[in-house]
Amino acid sequence: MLRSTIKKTAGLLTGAGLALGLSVGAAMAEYPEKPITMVIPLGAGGSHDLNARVITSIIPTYLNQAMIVRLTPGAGGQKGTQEVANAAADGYTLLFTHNYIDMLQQHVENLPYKPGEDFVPVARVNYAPIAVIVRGDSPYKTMDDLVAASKANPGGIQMAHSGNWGALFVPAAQMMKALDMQWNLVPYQGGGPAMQALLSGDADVTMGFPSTISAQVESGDLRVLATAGATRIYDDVPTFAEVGVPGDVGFMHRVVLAPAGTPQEVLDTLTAAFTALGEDKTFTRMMGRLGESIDIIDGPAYEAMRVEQDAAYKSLVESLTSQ
Amino acid sequence: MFDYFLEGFGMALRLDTFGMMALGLFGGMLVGALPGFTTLMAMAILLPISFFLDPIVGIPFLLGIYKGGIFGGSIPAILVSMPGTGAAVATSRDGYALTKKGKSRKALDMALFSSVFGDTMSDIFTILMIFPIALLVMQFGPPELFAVLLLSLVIIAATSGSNPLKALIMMLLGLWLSFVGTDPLGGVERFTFGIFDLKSGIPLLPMLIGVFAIPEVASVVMKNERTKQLASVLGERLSFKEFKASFRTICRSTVIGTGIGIIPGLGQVVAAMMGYSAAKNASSHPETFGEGELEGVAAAEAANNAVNGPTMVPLLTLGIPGDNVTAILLGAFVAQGLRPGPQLFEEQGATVFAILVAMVFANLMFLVIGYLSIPIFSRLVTIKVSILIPLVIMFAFAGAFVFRSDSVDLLMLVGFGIFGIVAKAAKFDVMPMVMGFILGPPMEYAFGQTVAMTNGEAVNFFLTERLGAMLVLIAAPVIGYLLWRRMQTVTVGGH
Amino acid sequence: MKKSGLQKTPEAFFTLFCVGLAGLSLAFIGSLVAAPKLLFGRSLTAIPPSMFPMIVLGLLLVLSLALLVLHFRNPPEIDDGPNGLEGWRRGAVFFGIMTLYALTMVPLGFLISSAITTALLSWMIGNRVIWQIAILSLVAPILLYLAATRLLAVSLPELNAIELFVARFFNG
Repeated sequence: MLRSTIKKTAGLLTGAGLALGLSVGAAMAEYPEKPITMVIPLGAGGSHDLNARVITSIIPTYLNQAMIVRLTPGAGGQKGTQEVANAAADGYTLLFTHNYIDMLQQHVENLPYKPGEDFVPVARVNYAPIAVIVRGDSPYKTMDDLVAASKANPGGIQMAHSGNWGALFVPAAQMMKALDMQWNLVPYQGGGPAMQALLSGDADVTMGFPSTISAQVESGDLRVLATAGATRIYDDVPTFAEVGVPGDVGFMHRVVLAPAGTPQEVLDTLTAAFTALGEDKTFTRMMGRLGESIDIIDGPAYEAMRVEQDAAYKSLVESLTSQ
Repeated sequence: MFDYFLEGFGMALRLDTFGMMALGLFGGMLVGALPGFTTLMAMAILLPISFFLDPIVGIPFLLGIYKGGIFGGSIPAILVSMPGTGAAVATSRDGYALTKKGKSRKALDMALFSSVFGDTMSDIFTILMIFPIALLVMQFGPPELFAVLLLSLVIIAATSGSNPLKALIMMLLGLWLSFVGTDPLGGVERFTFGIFDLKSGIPLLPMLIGVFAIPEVASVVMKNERTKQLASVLGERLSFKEFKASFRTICRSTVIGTGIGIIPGLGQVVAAMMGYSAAKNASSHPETFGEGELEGVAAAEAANNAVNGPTMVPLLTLGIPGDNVTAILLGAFVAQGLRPGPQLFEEQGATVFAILVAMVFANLMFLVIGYLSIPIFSRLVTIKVSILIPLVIMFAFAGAFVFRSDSVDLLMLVGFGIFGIVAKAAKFDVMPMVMGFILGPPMEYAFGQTVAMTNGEAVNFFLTERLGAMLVLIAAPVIGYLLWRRMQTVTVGGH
Repeated sequence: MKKSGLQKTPEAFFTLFCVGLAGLSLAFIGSLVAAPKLLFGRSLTAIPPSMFPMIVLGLLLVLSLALLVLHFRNPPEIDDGPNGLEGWRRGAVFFGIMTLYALTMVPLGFLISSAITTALLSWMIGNRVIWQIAILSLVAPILLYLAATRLLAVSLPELNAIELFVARFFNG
């Protein structure tokens, strides 16, 4: 009697479980079925966060599901990154990061994951070129002035940066190597405080992205000495290549990654949504207001860039830290 | 400039501005009352909505959320000894003691009035003195920050009560805990024993809840006196006489908070503790602080709100946000086509003043909103304990998880709860520990920056360039000693 | 009548713990704190990562030893506290339930783990009114879950099936 009850219950449960599982499985076929989480491995309020807020407020129209931002700062970006690496590859957990965390960090830290293998790019949203800036009243009128002063006084020029191996630090290190000069690198908690240090006189030089410095440049409080990129951003300011720092220096790419193994249909849906996002008028207007550009390229195209970055950063770090 | 102000004043007087602000204030208060669900998050989520609103409606809305949230954080601190932010820690001490005495409504009222007063005064001060403040802000760099942080720790230890030795030990313990993880300057691992979850350090919120709320909850559970409620008496509202008695303290705290707001990098936590310590020191009966002294609540709350005014200054005049909240405001400003920076006032002066004026009105509106809401909140402690405590635990755990989306934090919560109980039994006060924990990393960072700046010639650097910092550093132990002596003489008995 | 000597108070144990912690950490500081990294041959950071910890731990050691000495000279009264054995037993159960909550929240999801925990806690504290416990453990978690995920857009851990169900329910 007891045995048959147990058998019946077991059967019932199995049936229920199967039904549930089947319904869940069937649901998976029409991705996205529930809201998607976008993990940001950085703190709140940064330019990354702001970018993400704009993206997640508009992309639901193209995905028919909400996209929720989840800030997971910590360990220089590793915490959030690891979380996504370990998450299920079903397209419901994405990572919104940038190239320094993505491809550079593995060469300066022991990471519990392999960025190249554990992630596949969905789309690169935009990229920003950095600029070398000094105060408006500084004695350095051109990049050559600065370089000459730096060579004459090694370690005497104070450069404010946003954290070791960050978006300001890496171009600075690359510059120091290419131009054979030494700055005294002083860390600050981000690009904002670094700029404040420059303005208050604690630092002699720093770097910044056009979106954050444009107001000060126009008012004359800041002077731009050089900008990254192949073409000049400001007419009378030389590019990095022109002053002797060639190559892929000073670009921060904002990119959306998914865990490796995510089904191709899911990736295609996401990529299509992001491409459509790039054409969206409201999106363009808002990003313009934030001072950010839009330059969406799809996953495979960015993957090629990742591979290049990997090799480039590896040799960069080796040359910088050996000695 | 004055014309802009007048024009802005007129622009701010709009029904939709006031309406959205009220909504923001109320909503912010509710969100702030849930530890772990930070107002920062609420602001970040609602930020895109503000993009589609008029700037004079959208930005005050966000500001309303922020200000409502600061007070909201004091609610659980007072009612169930569960501070959601470091700033509410000082309030939770006296606030919860008052709740146990049946005076929860008085405590909440006092918190509200002091917060509003401190915030309003500081906002008005900021509006009048924006440009001098901007110049003043520029004078402070890493050496000054380090000096002031060190001084704050010294003051906290010296005024902590009967036994500064114990307070110092706890503070050092807190400092050590703050070192667990990666060091803020170089990113190398410290005290992590190879455990990945420790790599980003010990999270603050589980520690706060664990160390402040859990022991209190546990002591209620352990007593088993069949106490049905946390406090059976709701208590009356705050009387005007009581408010007047604390008025001097409120003013003092407002000044302290405003001053601390000017120094970039300090923030509400330092302000609250400094206001509290100053009030304790100036009082003729410092031993009542921590046992349910209304003045203590007033001191902490006025100070931690007075920080807000000057914090806006670097944002508006330079476009540099000082913390995460102002960073979100920056996004809101920029999305509306307002460019914070040197030309903001020339280009958009009227709009900016309208927003600032709206900010002052937000405070006044909050007086009404808060006053009406307090009876509802204070009623919570009359829910019977066998229902209230499970609810409190559920909220505590939910908040601890949401903080970092990490289930390890829940174990940390329980662990710190046990620690809190042990510390209580051993008669060690946890407040200095939490303060050491919060202030440790910025202090180490500022010190590292300072040393980097000096490039090796430390003494010369301090004497020639950073005289102010030097003076503060020398004064710190002196001030600490003097404060301690005063505590000794005024408190009856010693140890 | 106070005796001189080290009483076995919680205070003393705590202080001893601090001494031990500080002493051991200082002794093994090399393996507890990783070495700083290098850039261009110089250290990447201006101060070594072990500097502040060593200062703090050193002070901790000295001060807790001082406190122990003071205790030795003036032992405080032994105070059992208002709890008694029954109280500590309840405390242990309380912490047991909370640990259970911490461990089950992710595997079982927020709703189920909260329902179990709140029901257990309510019963343990003395509630015997079944309908109250039922509403508490069933309704309250659902409300909080919905408010958190729908209004505040934060994520609480939940079983996949329940998440899908909620999404379907709201999106039709």
